[in-house]
Amino acid sequence: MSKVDTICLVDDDEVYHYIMERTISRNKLAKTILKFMDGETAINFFNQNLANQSKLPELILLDLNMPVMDGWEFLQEFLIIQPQLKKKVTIYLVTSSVNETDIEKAQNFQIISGYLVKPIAEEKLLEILDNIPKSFTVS
Amino acid sequence: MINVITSDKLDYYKFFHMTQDLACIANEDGYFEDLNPNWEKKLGYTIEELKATPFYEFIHPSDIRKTKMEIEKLSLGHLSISFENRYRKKEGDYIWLEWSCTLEPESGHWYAIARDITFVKKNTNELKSFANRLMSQNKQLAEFAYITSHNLRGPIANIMMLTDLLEREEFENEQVKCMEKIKSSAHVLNNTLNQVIEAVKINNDTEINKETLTFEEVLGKTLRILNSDIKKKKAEIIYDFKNAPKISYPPIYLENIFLNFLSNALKYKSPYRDPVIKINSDHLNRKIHLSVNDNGLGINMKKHGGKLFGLGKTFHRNSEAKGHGLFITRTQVEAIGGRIWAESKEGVGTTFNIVF
Repeated sequence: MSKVDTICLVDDDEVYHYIMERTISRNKLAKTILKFMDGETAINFFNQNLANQSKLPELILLDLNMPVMDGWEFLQEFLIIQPQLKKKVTIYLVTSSVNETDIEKAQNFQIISGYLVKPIAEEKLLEILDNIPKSFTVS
Repeated sequence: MINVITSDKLDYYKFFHMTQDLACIANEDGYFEDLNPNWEKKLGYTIEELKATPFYEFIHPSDIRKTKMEIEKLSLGHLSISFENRYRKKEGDYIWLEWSCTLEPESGHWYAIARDITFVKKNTNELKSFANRLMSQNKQLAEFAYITSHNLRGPIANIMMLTDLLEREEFENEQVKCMEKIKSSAHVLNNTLNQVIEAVKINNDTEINKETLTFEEVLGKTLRILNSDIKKKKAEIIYDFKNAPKISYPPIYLENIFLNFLSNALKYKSPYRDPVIKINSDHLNRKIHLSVNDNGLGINMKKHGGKLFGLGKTFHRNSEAKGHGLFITRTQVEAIGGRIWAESKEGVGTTFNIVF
């Protein structure tokens, strides 16, 4: 039994995609993994599936530094569509650098549940998933 | 000529002769009427020589227009003006003078004081270039901090997570995949580190020797290195260096620039047409400008523009080419005070530009 239905990775690092995919599937953390290389393709997916919200993820692991549309821009776009979401989407920032200004900025976004610095231990990922509401919460 | 000086004028006379500044009276015809003895000391001409020559002839050619514009203000009703210009000494070199000048309307005489500010000017220029150097070094430091946190930490984090994963993977095929990823991450890391080390070396090597190089010769050398690739890809190379045939530059840097731009143009050729590479040199704002244009694949600048000259891109390695990537090229160009940029359209081609 997986912990959530869908986890979404938004990161321009393919090796990281592979690592997370293996970790998630080995531990059966989710049935589906969505992978995006930048913020724009990710937000497009959300917009296209607003009518079909079972496809949307319960958890987004969001990188900050990406081409085309970075993590911050993605968050701005996400806030626009958030009122239309019928399920709780948890967002964690995942970056390879500890940047004070990024951390401060992250605190201003209420939708961000946490700021993770790579490498992420498998245990940490399990812990995060344990704290995510698994079923649909209709608001 | 006999000068009769009455006692009440003596103080003024003394003042005119003893001041450490350069004092003078000039007329609207452009001649000095009177000058104090300091002029002889500063410029090396006799007072007679100075009086006999229109004063514009002493002014540095680049400063004449500026000076005329200032003096014009006097005829427009300004009573006093201040400006700076350069005066030629008898030996031929110039000193910087800071002027303050007042017009007496009735006589049409200009009463002017000039002060030698050559030393201040020289110091200011040195300070300016020093500040510029500090600023660019600061920028580079910030960039290195970013590189270490992003480009180095990224692959390190991956390697750490991959080794964790490797310990937990039970199936051999997954373990093999994991090992391959570790290897490639280590390779990326090594490559990035080498480039950072190379960039630090370039920035420290400020005394690198410049030589007078002809673009045509350096291009010829590059074409010999890339010869087999050019033939294989049926590339046509068109060049025009007649507007700016020569440059004073570190030879290895210029060779690297040509090697990089040309091998990129060949590597990213369009599958639909044979490569045509146009290389031009000309002048842009008094500096030498080099452009290398191709009809290749082109780059999505919105997607990759920001990373084009960044670290970690290894799309330059060619079997015959041993040039460094665009990151190193950029570091070399900027270390000599130049600028590098690209313009591109997907499916049409790319132009790389350098202002040296």
